Amino acid sequence: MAGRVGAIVLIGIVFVFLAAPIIVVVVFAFDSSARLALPYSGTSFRWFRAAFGNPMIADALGQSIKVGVAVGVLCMALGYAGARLMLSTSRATRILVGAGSAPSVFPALLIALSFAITLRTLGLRQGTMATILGQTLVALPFATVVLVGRLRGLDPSFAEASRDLGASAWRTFRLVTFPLIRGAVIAAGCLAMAISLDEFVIAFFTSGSSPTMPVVLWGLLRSTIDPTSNAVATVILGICSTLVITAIVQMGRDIDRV
Amino acid sequence: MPNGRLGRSPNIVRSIGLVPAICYVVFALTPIALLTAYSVYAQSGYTFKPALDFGNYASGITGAGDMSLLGKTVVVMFAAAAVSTFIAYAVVYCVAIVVPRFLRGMMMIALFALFAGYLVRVFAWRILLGDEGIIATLAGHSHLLTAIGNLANTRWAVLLALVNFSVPLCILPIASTFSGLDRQLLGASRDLGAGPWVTFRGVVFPLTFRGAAFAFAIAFILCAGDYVTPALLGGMDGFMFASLIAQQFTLTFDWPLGAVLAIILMTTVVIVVSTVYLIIGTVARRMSGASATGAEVARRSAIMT
Repeated sequence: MAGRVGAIVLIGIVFVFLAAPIIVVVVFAFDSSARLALPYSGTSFRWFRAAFGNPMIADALGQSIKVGVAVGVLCMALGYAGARLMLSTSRATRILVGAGSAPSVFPALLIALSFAITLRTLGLRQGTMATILGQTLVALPFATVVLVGRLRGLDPSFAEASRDLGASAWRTFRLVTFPLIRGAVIAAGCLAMAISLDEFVIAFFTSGSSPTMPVVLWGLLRSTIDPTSNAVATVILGICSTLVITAIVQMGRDIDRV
Repeated sequence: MPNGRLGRSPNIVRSIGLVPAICYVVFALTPIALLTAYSVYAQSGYTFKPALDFGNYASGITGAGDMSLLGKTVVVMFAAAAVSTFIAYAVVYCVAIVVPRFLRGMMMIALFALFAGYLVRVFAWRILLGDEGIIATLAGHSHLLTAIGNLANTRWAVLLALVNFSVPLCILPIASTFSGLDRQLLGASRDLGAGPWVTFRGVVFPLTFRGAAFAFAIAFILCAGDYVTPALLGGMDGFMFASLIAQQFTLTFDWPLGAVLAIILMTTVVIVVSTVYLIIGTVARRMSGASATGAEVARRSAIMT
């Protein structure tokens, strides 16, 4: 019994430790005082107004959403292709795609620097396109894993029956395969978009004159200690957590359907 | 057109199937290949020319303080990864033993924490630590909390924030090995008279150490390459090898040297991670071999019941 209580206390302490930073950021975003210290002096939205009254931050939010949607869509399409390749019958293909997933275990700094070198070598400029491609590179393995998990559990006889009845490959995908994996596709897209919105290192080296939200937040953190940065951080947290929760819910949905 | 669905595809079809796979690999690995190429490029002013200049490696290794900085980084990041793995393992073990139904829910929370707010969670420690930080304000007469509050701008602050960030990352692989653990084995071990420690040593750890080793590897790779946390929380004391690499690209503009340093860091990471894998594997084998009431006995009795 003592062991049970001890275990629950330990679980509780670790969860408080994990949640503390997020709670602090969100609470101080709503604190009306300009000092980032206790005591809490009342709730207000002035830091959110201050943040989005600043055109630099408002532009960054737009840029983040633009890049995030593009990364999400790219990762849905490429992730599906990658997942199909990973489940291919050819051993060589599987090994190649496995090797292609290596960047997911590299530190982000390494990928960012490599990507900056690639841009320079290819003579491409920093900017929206570069950020989208770079973040796709990081988010793609995660999207692929989600889709591999779903495709592996899919009964191939549905698609085979459709083909045998004379439907084209595209028609089979549109009417049979896609409805069965819709949840996983949406989940992969949401997860990729969340990764993109939260991603700082790649964006820092590629976004140039059109920074995304985390890059602007970095600037704010380096220059000021001001609750405006908490408001910006809270907005990033809010969007990302909505996307991740959607992804988790959608992942569960397919399994219930079949 | 009948393709390979009814049997093995003809070779030509399978070769065509390789084309997208090759594109995938090229897209994923070109940047790393170019980074490696840059490590032997020659630099003049702000331009870099293809060359086979191994002098970059010489200056990377002999550069003032580079190797001692690497040593400090390995120690701090090793500690961060080990502590994270330990905390994650302890929590997952408690959940698996006390409230096994919560295991799945905990994985969801960890997944959620992993994708929400990397920069945000690092920066939160700037509010928590420091003389006017939340922890110092709340500490009162607690020496432990006062000590934690005083960590601002040291390598310890970096360690604390990295542990905070890595624990969810470590929970995922460990929880997934625990959810695959056959609970009958635990019951069998207990029925045979084994206490919790003997069961842990003989049954649970040998069956879950792979998850712990993987968690350590992922956490160590992530921490070793992190320069954001040192920059925001570390001050002078928290300057790490990854910060030095980032400097070559943003400040001194010596990309070939930066590439060399990145390769040195990755090589070190691979050596450390493989050593840890070897050690944990050996320890797990010893533990399960040493206890007579271990996995084998438990497994046999589980089969019988």
